[in-house]
Amino acid sequence: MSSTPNDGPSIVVNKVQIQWNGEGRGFSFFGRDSIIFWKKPSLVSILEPLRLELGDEYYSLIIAYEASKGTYEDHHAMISALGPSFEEGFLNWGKAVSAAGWGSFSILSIDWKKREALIQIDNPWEMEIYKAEHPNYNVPFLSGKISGIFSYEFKTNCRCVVISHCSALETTNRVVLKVYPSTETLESALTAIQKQRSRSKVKQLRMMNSILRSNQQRMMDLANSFSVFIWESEENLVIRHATPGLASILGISEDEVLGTSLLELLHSEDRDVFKDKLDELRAGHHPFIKLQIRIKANHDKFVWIALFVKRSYDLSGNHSGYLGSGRDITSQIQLETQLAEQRLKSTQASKMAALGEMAAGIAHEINNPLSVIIATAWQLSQSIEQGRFNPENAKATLFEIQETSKRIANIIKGMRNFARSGEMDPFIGYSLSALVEETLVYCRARFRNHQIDFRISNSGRDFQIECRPVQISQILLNLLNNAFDAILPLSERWIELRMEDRQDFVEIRIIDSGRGISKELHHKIMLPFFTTKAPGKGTGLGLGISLSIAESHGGSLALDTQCTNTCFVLTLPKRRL
Amino acid sequence: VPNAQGKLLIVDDELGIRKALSDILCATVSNIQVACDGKEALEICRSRPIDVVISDIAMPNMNGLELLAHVRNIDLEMPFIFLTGYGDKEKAVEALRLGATDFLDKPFDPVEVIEIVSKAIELARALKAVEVEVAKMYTQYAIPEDKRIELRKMKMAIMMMKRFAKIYSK
Repeated sequence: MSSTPNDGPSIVVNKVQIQWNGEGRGFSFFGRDSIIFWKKPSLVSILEPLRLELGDEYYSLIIAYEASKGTYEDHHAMISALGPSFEEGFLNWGKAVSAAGWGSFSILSIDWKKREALIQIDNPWEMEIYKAEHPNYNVPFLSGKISGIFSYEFKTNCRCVVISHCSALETTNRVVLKVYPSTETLESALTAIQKQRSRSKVKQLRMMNSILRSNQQRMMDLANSFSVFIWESEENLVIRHATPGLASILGISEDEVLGTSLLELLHSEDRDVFKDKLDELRAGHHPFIKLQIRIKANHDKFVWIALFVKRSYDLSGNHSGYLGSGRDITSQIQLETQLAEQRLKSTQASKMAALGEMAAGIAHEINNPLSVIIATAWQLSQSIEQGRFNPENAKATLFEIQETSKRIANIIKGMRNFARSGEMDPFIGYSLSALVEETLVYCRARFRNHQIDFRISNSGRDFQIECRPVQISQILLNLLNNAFDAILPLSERWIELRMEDRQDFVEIRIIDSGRGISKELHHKIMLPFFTTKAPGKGTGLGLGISLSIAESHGGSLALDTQCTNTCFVLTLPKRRL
Repeated sequence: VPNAQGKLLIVDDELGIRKALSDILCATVSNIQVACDGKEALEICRSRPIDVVISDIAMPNMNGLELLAHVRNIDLEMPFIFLTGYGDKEKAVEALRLGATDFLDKPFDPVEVIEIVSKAIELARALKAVEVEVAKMYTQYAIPEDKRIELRKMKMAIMMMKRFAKIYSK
């Protein structure tokens, strides 16, 4: 209650000494700094963004609450220094603060029983500064002050409410505040609104979080559905980080993945390949490496992974390990394997079909020499029985039997060879003429049965080729059988096999009396499963397989489109001496 | 083994078979001729009398079945034996329909060859004798030419049915 030493002018309004502080743009009374409402809207414009941000209700409550603080001193002054009665003290206090622009206070009524009061304030600057934009501004500062003062006077918590704004006279602004007892204090009202606001903030945050999470989940799901993972490792290939894809492929938890060495995960057979590739990467031969390897998953199962590896660098540009991606390609590999198996099976099937077709011809080939052997042997025994045995004749007969038996043996050998796939056979030097002869075993009888004129033309010399004989025989047989099927319905029936020298290569032409293959089919004939033969007659695999065999021998197989007849050209490299 | 006085024609495109058959039959049949395909065989049948034909089925130029068809135009009853290989059952049935007399499966048993060919020559001889008798009867009873052909055809059909029964019981 002592007066603060102050350089500013000091006035006494009623009993109150008010010390003006021109520098600080404020005043103090009873030693307490107080506020001046400046008519200048600058203060408002500073606080306006805050008001907009917080909203009127919250903003007003904050101001009212802050204003209500320190009303104990105000009330105490009213009932002690400022007046003998509360009313007198209040009005004296009002006069003092009105000097600072708070407005002129008057008491309309006080009901001590109900603890209610009506306070009228004229021309409060708080109202003045907001009037233009907010005609219903509810004077929170004054409300806070009045609530506080009357709470102490009525000895119960009071709130007040603006019951009338009155600006009937243009120069006068008047507000009437009704004071009433309330269980809700300004503080609890503020706390409630703060809680509500923070609740809605939390709600908003939660919502954003859940959106983020669901997005993240979506991304994860997406990543998992592609069975792709991204990983990062130390220089020693110990995994530093990996997206969940890897853990789910391995069938272990994400934590277990960390600290595992990538090398340990690999199939033992793939480790060396991986190390070699990694050495190349380290040596800087490639910016990255790509490889297909197997990694050990749960239950000793192996998963095929398409792995992409890059070196990673730290901020100072030093190698810090490796990073890359991986993709589960097990099903893809399985499909490829299945297709390869299927292809192999089809190849075998088409060969067996061809074999069945030719069984009669083969039987014929065997039965004839067999008949000769039986007949010759019988004759020999007859000569002995009839006592006209001649050693010279017998020797000739036995030689014939031997030779004919060899012929049968050769046929059987060829047949056994044909039944094998020959795919794993080594490449050996082989006589082309012998190969052609061996192949003809399977079709010569058929050609003869159907009056097909078959001729071989070569320059009278033989060629040595480096080949898998069984496979080449298969190509020739395919081409000869195709020719046979094509010309069977024709009246002019001939097939020619021509061998020609082409420097490093030998060219084998198989020409038949057909009129060629229509242009539309040229690009189709080598495709697998394409056939012009009747259902059940051809598999449509012959030419495709023949082509791939020819290519695996470093040769080629093509249709000669210039020839007026149907002509296939098989080119094979000669054996290098 | 009775020595049959008959004229045999061996038809096969393979020299080894022709030679083997000739060697087996030379002691049994007095007159053996050979042809390397149906065309040559037909020429021989047209130019001189043949009692029995033994022929391969699969041959260039003219196959055995075509030869049989042509031969039947000349002689309805001449015994015609086919040499058959593995898987020729369908062709054998076709051959019977065309009027083949018997079959020899390759590889053939020399004893069976002699037996079948001897029987065929006997049959040919018997048929000729019957033919003479029948011709006599035809004139005696004045049976018209068209009826004679019909009778022959009936006889052929009966013979064929007997052969079918034989091949399916084999």
